[in-house]
Amino acid sequence: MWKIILKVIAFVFLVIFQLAIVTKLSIGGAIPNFLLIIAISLIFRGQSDNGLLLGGISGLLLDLVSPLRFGAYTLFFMIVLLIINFYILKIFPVPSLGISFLIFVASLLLVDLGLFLFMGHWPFWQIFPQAIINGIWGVLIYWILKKVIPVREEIRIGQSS
Amino acid sequence: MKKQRPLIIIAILLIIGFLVWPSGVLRPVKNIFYLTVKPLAIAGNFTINRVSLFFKNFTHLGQLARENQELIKENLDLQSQLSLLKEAQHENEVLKKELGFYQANNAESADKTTKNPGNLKLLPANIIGRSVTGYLRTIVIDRGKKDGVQTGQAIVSQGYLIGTVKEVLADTSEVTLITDYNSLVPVILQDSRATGLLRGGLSGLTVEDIPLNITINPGEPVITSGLGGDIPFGIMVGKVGEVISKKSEIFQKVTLNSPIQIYYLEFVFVVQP
Repeated sequence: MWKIILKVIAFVFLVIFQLAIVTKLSIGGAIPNFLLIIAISLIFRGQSDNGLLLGGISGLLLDLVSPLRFGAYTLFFMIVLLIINFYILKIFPVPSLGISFLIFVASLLLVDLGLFLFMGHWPFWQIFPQAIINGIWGVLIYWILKKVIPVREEIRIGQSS
Repeated sequence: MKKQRPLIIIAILLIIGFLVWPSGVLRPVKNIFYLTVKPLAIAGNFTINRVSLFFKNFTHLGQLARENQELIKENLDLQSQLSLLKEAQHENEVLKKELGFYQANNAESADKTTKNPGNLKLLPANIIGRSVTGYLRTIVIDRGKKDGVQTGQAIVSQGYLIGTVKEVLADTSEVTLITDYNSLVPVILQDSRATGLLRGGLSGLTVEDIPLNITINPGEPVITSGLGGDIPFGIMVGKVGEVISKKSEIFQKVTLNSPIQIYYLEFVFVVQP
């Protein structure tokens, strides 16, 4: 129980860090979405429970401070993370940096498209370069996390009928 | 099942949040969260601005020298214009007196200080948050209802309009920047006296709906018109860039250049009536 509370506190601090500091690190108007990038990276390292928890907490807190209707961030973060966890990882169990770049770009595009859907506005073409810039940030962070977090492998023993 | 418990809690919170959001029940929670972010945001703003400005200045020394020369020239031009304007103002007051206008208007202006850009009441505020996506251009300031901030009030920096207050909480407020694509501000092109609407967007600021019969001069100042909302008349917005509308269009559209780099701002002013 305490472990989960500590994790939640750490993830809340990560959201505060994103809002207070990371929003100032924009390149060409693209603000790095460290929360989604770290959540995806955790799933890549086999820590799907932590990745989904971070996705959920950050989604809820971003919804709280977002000018959009509550639920947009949580919904699209969770959709992306669940797709990666249950489908993409079946195809690429340990994604290389190249594959991870494509997954980061696709994920951020999907989230941005979802947010535009929520806004009721046709997407701007700028979402493509912004997703690519975020993809580069993603590869960089995933590469660092790869050195720090070992892959957690789950061995499932099933009963043969 | 135990492993899924946090996800179930998140799903329940999502549904509750979605349902209670319109009632405004979450506003105090939002206010507390902003106050938690505030110390780190102020420290982050200060540090990151110093570091990025250092590198920017280091790599743009030549450009800075050129800009300095241009600014000295512009300053001299402005000084000469100011002396002419002072003369014109004096002449204007004398003529108003002659026409019997002065007393009546002066009495009115006691409760309409917002009509005079020089007499604006300004409330300083720190920027403590920015929008997470690059598409929604909003900031959060550390002044709220307790400080008398109201929805729709103008936010300025260095005398230029940068946004309007969108939502007021107890200690903080959310500001929609003029660069946000949802932002629309009525403006006047100062030399040609044309009215238009200032619109934001990822491609930059534009002034739309300018009548076709107006001749627009590139570089002419653009100010707020004071029409609609709480934005006072006469706040500087920027200068006209170029005309970008096609000949077949029924209104003219121009780009607008603002000298304010919102990215580097640490504090702003709320314009209060």
